[in-house]
Amino acid sequence: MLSPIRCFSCGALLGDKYEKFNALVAKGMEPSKALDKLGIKRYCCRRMILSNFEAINKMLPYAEAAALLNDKGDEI
Amino acid sequence: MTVEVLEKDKLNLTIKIEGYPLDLINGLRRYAMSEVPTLAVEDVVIIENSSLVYDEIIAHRLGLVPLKTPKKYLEMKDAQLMLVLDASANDSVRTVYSGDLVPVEDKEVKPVSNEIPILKLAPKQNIKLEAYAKLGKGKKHSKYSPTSKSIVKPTPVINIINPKTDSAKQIVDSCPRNVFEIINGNLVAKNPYACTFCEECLKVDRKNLEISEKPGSYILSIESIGQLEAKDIILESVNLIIKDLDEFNKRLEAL
Repeated sequence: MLSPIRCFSCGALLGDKYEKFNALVAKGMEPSKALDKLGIKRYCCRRMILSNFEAINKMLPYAEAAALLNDKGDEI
Repeated sequence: MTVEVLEKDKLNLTIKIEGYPLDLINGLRRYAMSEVPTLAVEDVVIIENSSLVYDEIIAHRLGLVPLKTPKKYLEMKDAQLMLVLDASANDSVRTVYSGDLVPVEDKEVKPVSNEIPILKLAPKQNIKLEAYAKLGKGKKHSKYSPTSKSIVKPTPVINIINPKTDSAKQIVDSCPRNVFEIINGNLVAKNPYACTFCEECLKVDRKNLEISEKPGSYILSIESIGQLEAKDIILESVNLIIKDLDEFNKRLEAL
């Protein structure tokens, strides 16, 4: 649902790197080069970042809408 | 008996050890992984959680956040330190980071990085919790393990029989670890310690290359996650091995 904090296989810290990786790729950097730049060497860690999908971003709009409805005093 | 440092910074330590038995060096490696204690969040008291993320998922994620472990806590088995997380989103979606986790009892026991996302809050959602960090070992739960990489390998010896071989370029390209280089037309093993004995180069040219292990020489490579410095992990595992052997000795003498 959220980006993984540790690599499942080796336990290296990756939580603080997913957002940086996304920012680099959005700038047009190749994903493999971005991973190199962030110092993610092993393929167990690289797959954690490459294959991640943040499903919570799909659910947040509903919670936002609920907050708006509450403001207006309507029932959800 | 020699110990030579090949690579050293705060989080990485690679040393070449000669003249010590492999069993001892492997013991060191295993102690670094599963016996050196560190602090990690063990208990979480959730006071308020109106976010989309379930309590247990938040607790699990907090447990995985590596906490800096000052050396004085390595001896304190009953250490319990409180951290507090109190965040709310006002008008827009907010990501709660590990930096929002406030240490209450000891300012030094804080997350290794301040940029680890714990959860995301939609407008008007709140999260309020107390997290208790405790000392534990990697063999109990891998969140306590201070190392992500802990490896012993034999020291590779690369012998190039004919440096002017025609297949030099192919040999350089075949190596996934960039061991070889061509300098002034000669094939040179510039970075022999990076070799992992994959033998891809031998598939190209078996006649001009010899790859062997140096007897009695090993490379120990440790990568720290950040709770402790790599050097301290090794020193602490040495201490723990000595302590355990002393204990073993006492039991034997009592027989």
